[in-house]
Amino acid sequence: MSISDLLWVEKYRPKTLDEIIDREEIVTRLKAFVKSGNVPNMLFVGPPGTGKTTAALALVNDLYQGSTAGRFMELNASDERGINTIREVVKDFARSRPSTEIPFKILILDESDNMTQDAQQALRRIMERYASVTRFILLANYQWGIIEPIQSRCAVFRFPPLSPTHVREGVIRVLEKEGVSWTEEAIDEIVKAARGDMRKAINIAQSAAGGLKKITGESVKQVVGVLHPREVGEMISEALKGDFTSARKRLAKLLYDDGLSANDILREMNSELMSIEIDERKRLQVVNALGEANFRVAMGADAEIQISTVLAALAADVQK
Amino acid sequence: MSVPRLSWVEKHKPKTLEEVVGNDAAKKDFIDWLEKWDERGKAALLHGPPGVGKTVLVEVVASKFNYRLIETNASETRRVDFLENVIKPAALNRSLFSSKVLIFFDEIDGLSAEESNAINFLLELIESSKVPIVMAANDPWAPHLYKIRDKAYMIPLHRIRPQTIVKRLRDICKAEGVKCRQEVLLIIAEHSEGDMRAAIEDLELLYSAQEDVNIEDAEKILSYRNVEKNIFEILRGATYASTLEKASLSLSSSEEKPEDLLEWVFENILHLSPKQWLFPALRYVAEADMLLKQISKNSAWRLLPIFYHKLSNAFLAIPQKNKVNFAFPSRIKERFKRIQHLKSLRELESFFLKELHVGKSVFRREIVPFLRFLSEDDNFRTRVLNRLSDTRLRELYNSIILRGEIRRRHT
Repeated sequence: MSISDLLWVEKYRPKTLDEIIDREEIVTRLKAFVKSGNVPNMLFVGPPGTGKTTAALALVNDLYQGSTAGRFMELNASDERGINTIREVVKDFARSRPSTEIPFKILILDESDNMTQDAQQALRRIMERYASVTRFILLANYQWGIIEPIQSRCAVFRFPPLSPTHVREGVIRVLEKEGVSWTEEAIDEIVKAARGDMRKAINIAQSAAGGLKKITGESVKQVVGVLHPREVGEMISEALKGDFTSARKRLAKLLYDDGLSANDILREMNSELMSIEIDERKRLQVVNALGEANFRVAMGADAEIQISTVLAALAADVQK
Repeated sequence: MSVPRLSWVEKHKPKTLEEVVGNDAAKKDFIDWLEKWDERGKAALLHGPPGVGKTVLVEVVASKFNYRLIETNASETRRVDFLENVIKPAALNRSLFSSKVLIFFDEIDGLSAEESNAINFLLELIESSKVPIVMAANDPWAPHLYKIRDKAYMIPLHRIRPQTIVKRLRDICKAEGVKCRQEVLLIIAEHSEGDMRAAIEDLELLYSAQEDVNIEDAEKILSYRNVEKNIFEILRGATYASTLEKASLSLSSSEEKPEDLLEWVFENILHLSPKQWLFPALRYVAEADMLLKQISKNSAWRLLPIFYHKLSNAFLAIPQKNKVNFAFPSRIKERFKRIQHLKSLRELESFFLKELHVGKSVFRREIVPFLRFLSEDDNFRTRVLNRLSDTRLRELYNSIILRGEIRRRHT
């Protein structure tokens, strides 16, 4: 038995394209690929928990009629070892041609927008070189994180956040299968916290249930804060208040305890920054600092030094 | 047969606590530590430049408080047989009938990183010793000593002020029956750069040659003692420099590797700068950081002066600096632990990524807190542990997800 059946998200992940209840348009197109027996390189773009991985896995399952062993591979593109690993893996993986009617294998690359530009250029050449034996499904949160030449070689599918109705349906379906009862308030709270992210919704539901067979609005509220602490937001408000020390401590936790990448933190800082209320000139100052930090991190500079500088910009008065 | 003559340094070595001059804070600190020492207490590490009285302080305090002092220098500390046969028994067998024992490892920075046997011996001894252990080092910041630093109570000693040295030299002159000029003593003191031992050696050198020494002779005879500047002085130089050139000169005279110097500056700029100047100052550090990465990536070492300029600018960007004691970079201290932690995280994650079809950043941001939350439930935890067949995986689950709680509960 594996770990995955302990987690509802995995246990109830749709296995075939037919089991995917929403995303009709995408599913229809993917089914057409299955029917024709041919699949282009694809780019699935959308925020977390919107079904990119599920759709990719279901496609693979349908395409190979359930016997997927050795015919597809999942890779995490943001892995530190980067493009060399991918090159090796793809080479090995693509070398042995599958002996079915379907003459190619599928490689799913998760978080591919976290790859550096250099790595993406290399990936592009790999995609071309092995085009006849391997098809790529790239998963990404942001389309602009993928270089143009790769985008143009892929069929792009967009996965927007799920509608509240779909999140509600999805959660209730899982709760029913688990025999867990719920209150309307509990479901409302889950839908609100999940913001269109199905994985988040189901994780919250499972945490709120704990070992019990019942979830309430209260138990949901309790877990939301623990599961999804808005730490980057907290860090920003600490810096804004001038509590630079606490902000730096939080940064160290995010980087070294949680192991988040500089890019993830910077990205979240960027979106937080747009929504907080501060003097516009200050916002400009911080956005500038953020841009510099982004650039320098991309050039190999140190995450903590660079992000600390942005925190200092938040703590500082506007420079004349 | 002539009687071997003691050098002045030996002859006038302090015998009482009062004769140990300078570093009053360290003296008090060390005595307090020793008096309050019990078996749970750490070892102490006296550190500071040469000739400021580390060894002598330990010797004098030991005798004043009736400790039997067992003293080893770097070459003895290297000899495993000596450690096992002499030091270990002394540290572990505290007898009610014999006198109190104090074990002293002098010059521990003389151990190189390769001599991990000796370092490990020291670490184990600190854990298990039943008697106080004191160590001394010039440079306690050597990377391979970090575990020892973690375990030791750090007591810094500083260079001795010229006036204090002059006073001590005058006493020695009186004892030796030498007539000396005040100005000459001052020159000796200044040349010594706070090193009392060097000052006494110089005094003996001058007055063993002739009875009356004038200023010109003194200047001529005393070659300038080129004390290697340590990182603290480099930082002080940069902090109080009034121009870019001076600050750069100070920083670039550092023998630290550029990437370590960057760490020192980053850490200390954070303390030095009041909030309002932190941003401009850090911005220079951030630029220096990127420049250095580019320099080393492209082997463009000729650009290194610009790196020093940028770091210097960081100091100059702070018109009024906080008064601080310069601190050892916490990032260097934590580096090893952090790398280990990230390695474990990656190891655990590579297992879970396959199982759960999520990417790295989703795993770290969402799955880890989620698993932590669910694992608070005994039932869930047991089920996970039952499914982790591999011992290493169970270990990782325990350390990363449970943060070692299981072990805590069961012991």
